[in-house]
Amino acid sequence: MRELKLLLRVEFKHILSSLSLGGVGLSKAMKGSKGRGKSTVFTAVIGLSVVYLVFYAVLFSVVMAKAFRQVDAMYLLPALMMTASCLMMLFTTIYKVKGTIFGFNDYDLLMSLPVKTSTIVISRIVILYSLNFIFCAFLMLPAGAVYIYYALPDITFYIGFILSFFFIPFVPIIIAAVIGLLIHYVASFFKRKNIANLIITMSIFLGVMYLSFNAHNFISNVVDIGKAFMQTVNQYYPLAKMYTDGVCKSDFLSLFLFILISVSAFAVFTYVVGKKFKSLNTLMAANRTTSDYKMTTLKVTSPSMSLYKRELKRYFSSANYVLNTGIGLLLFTMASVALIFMGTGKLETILGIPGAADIIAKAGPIAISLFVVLSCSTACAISLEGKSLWIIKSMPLSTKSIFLSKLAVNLTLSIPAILINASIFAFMFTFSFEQTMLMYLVPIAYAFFTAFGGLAINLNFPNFTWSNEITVIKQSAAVMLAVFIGMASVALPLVLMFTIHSLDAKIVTYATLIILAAADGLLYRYIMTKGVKIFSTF
Amino acid sequence: MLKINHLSKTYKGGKKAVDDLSMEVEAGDIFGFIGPNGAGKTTTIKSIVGVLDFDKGDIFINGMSIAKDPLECKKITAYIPDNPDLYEYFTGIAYLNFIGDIFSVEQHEREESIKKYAGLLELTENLGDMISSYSHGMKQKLAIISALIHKPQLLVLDEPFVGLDPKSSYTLKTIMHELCETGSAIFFSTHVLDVAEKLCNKIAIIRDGKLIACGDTEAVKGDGSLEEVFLELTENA
Repeated sequence: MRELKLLLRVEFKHILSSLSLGGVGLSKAMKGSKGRGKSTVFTAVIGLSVVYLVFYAVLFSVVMAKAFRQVDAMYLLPALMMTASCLMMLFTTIYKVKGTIFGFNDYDLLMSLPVKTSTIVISRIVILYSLNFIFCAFLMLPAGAVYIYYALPDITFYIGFILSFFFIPFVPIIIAAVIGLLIHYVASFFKRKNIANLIITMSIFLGVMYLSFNAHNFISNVVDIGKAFMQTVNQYYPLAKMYTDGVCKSDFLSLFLFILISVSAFAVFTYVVGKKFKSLNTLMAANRTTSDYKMTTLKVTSPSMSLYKRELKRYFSSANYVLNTGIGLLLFTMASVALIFMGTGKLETILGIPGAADIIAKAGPIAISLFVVLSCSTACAISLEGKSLWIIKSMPLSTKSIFLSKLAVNLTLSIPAILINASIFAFMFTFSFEQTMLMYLVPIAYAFFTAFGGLAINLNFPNFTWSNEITVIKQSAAVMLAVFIGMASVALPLVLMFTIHSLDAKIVTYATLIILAAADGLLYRYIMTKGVKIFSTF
Repeated sequence: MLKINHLSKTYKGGKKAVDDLSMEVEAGDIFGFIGPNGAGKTTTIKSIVGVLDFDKGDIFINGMSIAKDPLECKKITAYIPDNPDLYEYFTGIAYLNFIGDIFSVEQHEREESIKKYAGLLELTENLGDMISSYSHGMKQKLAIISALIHKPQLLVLDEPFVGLDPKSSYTLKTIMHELCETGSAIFFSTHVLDVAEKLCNKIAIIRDGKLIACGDTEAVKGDGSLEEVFLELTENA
C-alpha cells in the first residue's frame, strides 16, 4: 500500500508539472515574478475553461431537459449525458492507453524497482480512472443538477445517481484500452507504425461518425434525435439501459446489475492486464526493422523545402498531433460533404448545433472559422522539438526560417480546407459574390491568426522536457491557451451579432476582418522580432 | 580555428557554469576537454556550436564570431551531443539526406560520404529503418555520420565514445585523425582519460567553470599520467 501511494503521488505530481509554464512546472513557475504573471494568465484560462465546460454542460442539459419534459421523457436526460460522457471517455482514452498503462516512459525504471508488478499495474489503472472520472464529473454533475431541478425526483434517484456515478468510467476505459491496444498491435506490423496508427485511428473515427449520422437518420426534431440515439446506444451498449432503468426508474435490480457488470468487467480487465503486463509492454515497444538497406540515389532539395518537409513529416508521424489539431478541419470537410448530399436543411443535425443553418446564413464567414481556430498545430510545434532541439539550433538555419516552416505546415492544412469547404458552403447557401469573398477572407485571416498566435504562445510557454508527446499536444498550457483564445475570438463577434440586434451582421464581419488582419500583422512582427530573441534563449 | 575569449555563462538561479574561459584550438588539433561532472564542459561546448547563449566574452570560429555571424560559423561546424536525440520519425537515410539538404551538400558528395562512413561504422543496412528502432549506439553512429557529411572544419563532440562498441570507437578515432590531417580541428569532451591522453595533441582541464590547465598533452601531464595530473588539479585547485 505504501508503494502504491508513492507511485500515485509521483505520477500525479508529474501530471501537474506537465501543465508546465516555460518547461519549469506550475509550482516552480509561481515563484518568480515573471512566472507569477504567466501563472496568473494560465490559472485564469484554466478557470475560464472549467466555467465554460460546466456552462456548456448545463446549457445542453437545460435544452434537452426542456425538450424531453414536453414529451414526458425526462428519464432520457441522465442516460443521454451518461452516454455522452462514456463516448468522450472512450475517444480520449484510446490515445491515453499508450503512455498510461502501456508504453510509458519510466516502464524500465519502475519494473526494476523492488515493487510488485500488480502494484505498478494498479497505480497505472488508478491514474487512468482518475483522469476519466474528472471528465465524467464535468458532464454528469451539471446534468444531474438540471435533472433534479426539472424532474424533482424522489430519494431513490439520489441514491442511484451517487452510487452509479463512480462506476460509469469502468467499461469505457476497458473498451478504449482494448481498441487502443488493437490499433498499436496492428500498427506494429508496419515499418512506419505511426502512419499506420494514424490511418487506423482516423478510419475508426470516421466510421463512428458515419454510424452516428446514420443512427440519427437525420431527424430534425431534437427529442426524436435523442430518442433515436438512445435506442441505438441501448442496442449496442446495454449498460446504458440498465443505468436509465436503475437511476431514473428506481429499478434497483438494473442498478445492481449495472454496478456488478462494471465492477466485474473492471476486475477481469485489471487481472488480465496484470497477467499480460510485461508481454503487452514488450509488444508496444516493438519496432519492425528490415535491415536490408542498400545505397540508392538521394533526392536533393533546398534547405527551406527540406525544413518544411521535416515539419510535415513530424506532423503526420503522430496520430495524436493530427487528431488533436486536425479535428476542426476534418469536421469542416465532413460538414461540407454532408451539405452536398443532404442540403442546408440538415446542417443542424450534422453539426449537432441547433439553428446552425440560420447562423451560417447570417454569420457564415465567422461561424465556419470555428473549425479553423480549432486547428492550431503551431501551439505545440516548438515544444515538440523536445530533446532534439539541439539539431535545428546547431544548424546553419535562421530562426525565421524555422518559424516559417512551422507556420507553413499549419497554413498548408487550413488554407486548402478553407478554399474547398468555403466554396461548397457558398454554393449550397447561394451566397452573393461579396458574401462568398468574405467566406474565404475571414477564415483565411483566422487561419493566419491561429498559426501566428499559436507560435507566439508556444514561444512564451514552451516545454522541452516532456517524456510523452501527448503532454504537450493535449495537456500543455500553450495548447489550452491557444484553443481558448481562438474560440473566444470567434465567439466574441458571434455574440455581438446575435445579442445586439441593431448591429448589422455585415459590419461585424468586416470589423472582425480588419481587426484580424491588424492582429495578424502585429503577431507576425512579434514572432519575427521578440520571438526570435526568445528562441535564442532556449 | 576556434578561439574562446573570456567566455562566461551564468544560468538562471545564479549558477556560474563558465567563468572567464579563454583558449584556442588550431587547425589540425585534436583537443581534449576534460573536467569533473558539472565543471562546465557541456555549457562551453553548447556555446561554441550556437545552441546556448552566453553572457560575456566571444567565440570565434575561423575568425567569425558565433554571436554576430552564427550562420556562417555553423556552416563549417559540426556538433555531436552527449545524448544523440535524433528525429525518431525519420529513417536513418532520410535524416542524413535532411542534414545534406540543410548544409547544401552536393548530391554526389553526400552519397559518397554516407557510403563511406556508414560502411566504416557498419550502419549501411540499417539506414532504411526508422530511427525509433535504433539502439543508443546506432543513434550515436548516425549522429557521427551526419556530422561528417559536410566535411566540417571544426568538429565538436560531447562524450563521443559513450555507447559505441570497441570497434566503432576505434573507427571514430581513425576518422578523427583523418579529418585533422585534412586541416580540420576537433574539440571534444571526455571522461575517458586514457583516450584523451593517447588521442589528443592538446588538453584543457576545467573545474568550476574555470580553466585550470591548458596546453600540449605532454606539457600538461608532465612526467605523470594524465589521470594523476587530473586528480591532483581537480582536487587541489
